[in-house]
Amino acid sequence: MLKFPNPQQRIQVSHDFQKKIILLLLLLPGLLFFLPARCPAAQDKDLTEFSIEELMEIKVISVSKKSQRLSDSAAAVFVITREDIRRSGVTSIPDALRMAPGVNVARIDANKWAINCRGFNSRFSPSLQVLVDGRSVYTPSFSGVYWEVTDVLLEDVDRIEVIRGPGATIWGSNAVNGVINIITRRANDTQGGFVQASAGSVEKNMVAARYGGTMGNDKFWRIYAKHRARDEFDRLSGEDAGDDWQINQAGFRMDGQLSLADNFTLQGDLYDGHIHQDLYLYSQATPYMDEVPVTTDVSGGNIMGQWTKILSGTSEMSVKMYYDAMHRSEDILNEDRHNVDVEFQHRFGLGFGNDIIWGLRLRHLSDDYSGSKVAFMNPVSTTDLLYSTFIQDEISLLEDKIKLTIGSKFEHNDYTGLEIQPSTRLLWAPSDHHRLWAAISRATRIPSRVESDALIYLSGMDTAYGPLYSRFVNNEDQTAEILWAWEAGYRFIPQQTLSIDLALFFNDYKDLRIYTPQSSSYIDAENQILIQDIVLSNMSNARSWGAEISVDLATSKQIKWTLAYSLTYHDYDNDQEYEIDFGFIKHQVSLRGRFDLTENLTLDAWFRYVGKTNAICAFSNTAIYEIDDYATLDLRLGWKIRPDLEFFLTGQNLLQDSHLEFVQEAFSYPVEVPRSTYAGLTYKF
Amino acid sequence: MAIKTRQMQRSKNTRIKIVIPVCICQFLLCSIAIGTVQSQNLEEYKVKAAFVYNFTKLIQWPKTAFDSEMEPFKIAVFGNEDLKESFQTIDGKISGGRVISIRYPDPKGNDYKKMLADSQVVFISRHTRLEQALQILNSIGDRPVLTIGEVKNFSRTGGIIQFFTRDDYLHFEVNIKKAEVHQLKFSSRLLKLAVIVNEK
Repeated sequence: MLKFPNPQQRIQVSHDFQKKIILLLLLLPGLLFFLPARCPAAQDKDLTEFSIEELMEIKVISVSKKSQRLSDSAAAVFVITREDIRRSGVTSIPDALRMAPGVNVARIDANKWAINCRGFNSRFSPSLQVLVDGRSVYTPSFSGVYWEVTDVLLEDVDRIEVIRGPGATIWGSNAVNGVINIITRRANDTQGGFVQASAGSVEKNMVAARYGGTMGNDKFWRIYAKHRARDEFDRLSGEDAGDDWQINQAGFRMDGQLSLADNFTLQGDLYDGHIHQDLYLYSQATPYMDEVPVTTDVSGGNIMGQWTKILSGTSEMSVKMYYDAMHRSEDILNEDRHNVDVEFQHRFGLGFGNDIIWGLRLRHLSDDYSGSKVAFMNPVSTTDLLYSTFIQDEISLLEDKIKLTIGSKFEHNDYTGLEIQPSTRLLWAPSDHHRLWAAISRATRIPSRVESDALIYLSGMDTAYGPLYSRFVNNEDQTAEILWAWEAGYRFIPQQTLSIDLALFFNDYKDLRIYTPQSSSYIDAENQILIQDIVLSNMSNARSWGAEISVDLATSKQIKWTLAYSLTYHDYDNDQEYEIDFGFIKHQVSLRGRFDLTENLTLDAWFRYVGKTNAICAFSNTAIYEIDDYATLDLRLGWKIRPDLEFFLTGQNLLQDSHLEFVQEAFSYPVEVPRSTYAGLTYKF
Repeated sequence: MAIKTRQMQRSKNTRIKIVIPVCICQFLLCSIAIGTVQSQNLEEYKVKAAFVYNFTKLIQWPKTAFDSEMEPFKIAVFGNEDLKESFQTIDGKISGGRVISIRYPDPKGNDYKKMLADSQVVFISRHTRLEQALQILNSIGDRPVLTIGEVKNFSRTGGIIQFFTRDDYLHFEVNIKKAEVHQLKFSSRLLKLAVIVNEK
């Protein structure tokens, strides 16, 4: 869809496909199944002979635990639990998200990720709302997420809820393709000490510590700190990518009761880090493109308070406030941002099976982009106000066999005015083991600050008439991108050890904002340069459809399997017949096996296959960079040396030396994700 | 930027396309092969029933809770069919010199309130609708009956014990003030294991 006149900047690409251990892949699941020893002896015992202390030591098989809670939601939801995170050996939230079906996670380099649900993946313009304990970390600058600074102490994560499909009725604009809710545990549940240290090839070193205590009878607190340093990757061409980075983060959380029915939470985080990258930017001297090693200083913090009052068994209200600040000095975009958010929610039963929830939200954003050298904002600094209200009614019919949820968000923003985002969801539970649901919803993505106000110098090149610069020209005439999503799903939970979740979707997008080059370049007489403008406009429609399936199965007390498979198709139409084909993956598979080899020894295997995809890349002559499919495997071995001490050894991306997952839209080189290992110890007291 | 040729990709794709079905087949085969093993698993409700049995031994009911010395320990269980099988494992057991008798009242019927009136323990599973659960708690009033539930906020909205799962292990909350209202005395051994909720 992007075309550049006479592109000369080329990056040499080479790829090595030799290292495919296909046979191992074929045999692995079967082999692993035979490894663990089963001990059915304990199961023949009469449980009534057990003391209560012994009962509390019994592991209850619960693959359906999450399904029991989630089986009643009329949406495509997948939950990643703390146990999933610990056992898989992932070291970041993006890597954890690879477990969920329908989520495309692609690592661009050591410190950047592109993540979206159900296609349209990119670093700068996905359409995913991401919340950490209810705090939005979606960046209003470029409508993406700075995943490299979105972190928590993984040990303190309670769960990550991944909702594919629109969630705009509750979460507002930009919850278009999906919502990711990262929920940390209450301080009540994180009492005592936790120390973890590890070292490895990519995860050079990581130290994390937490301590939790009490204040009086009903107030609990915890503090944590973590340090992480990651090594650099290699470019596709074989050179060092220069993308090593390190970050320090610390925070606290306090939970308590103010009175019998009042609960409060107070929490906050601070981070500070240095991120290295090699940027490929326009310059003012020949050859008008330059490789620039950049150190990006990132820092930020937030503080949040939440008060929940239980009014009765069927009624509850809550008030949440937070302040969030960030600083990022990057040559492309220098950014200082301060967000204040206030939210009120009230839920109450209205009788006749009506359960109503409504809320108000006010969000104040202020930013300053002084000193940016590539993206020039006009105005450089501004404040935006966003206010919204929503109401949703969950109606239970036929003794809870049918649940009908209708609601809408009414949101006002400074870019496109009022956005109405309604949804209707229907859940039918014909019996305890079956759930069927369907939903229709509308969601919008409002223009980001960059999409509205930035002029971005993309590249320069030498021509016979002097330098030619390509620029992304944004403007304020953007309307919101609109999605109408049609979804349906089926859940089958025949027994506690098996659950199957199937979701189908059809997404109908209108007015997608796409960059299209002007038909000719022109001479800027004042500066004696040639300019090629690439202009953003709401020029295309698109459709995508597909299916996702996830299966949880415990084949015995010691073996659990989770399979996630997603299938996505897409299509587009626009007057210019530009191909809108980026960030879609047709087939994607994740298969995890968790094996309790002995009482103290655990093994985890995680196989992933990601189909081929296209990334937008301004430096490619077709503006599209084709990325091959890849299959890879993670293994983790955990050894509980003592009840309070665990040793772990993790190997990631084991099936090849390195593989390419994605390419950033501009400014950088293709970088491959290498095979890596790390080992460490966890101590609890 | 060099773009890979279609041919290179196709040959690689076919290889991987074979791998995926094989892996899925293996996965399904494993499931079928071990399908019978899972019945040996310790099911959640069998463990919960054993917990309930322990509760009857570690909690002291007032004398007024029973009509006579010989009266059985009556436990009313609200839930679906799966629960019945699990709770049958403690039916007929002896606790504190009394025989345990499990009953499964129908919350939709009219006679369940009568059954509640002479029960000492009521277990309300998550399969019971919230409105019904509140109705059941309501009709128990302040009588010496131990109410056990599973749904969120059960122990904060009138129930006494609430089960919850953490890291695949069962735990329970106790609303100690509510227990006092119902004249139930919890042993310190039990309270040491419980998460205490201080609410009326």
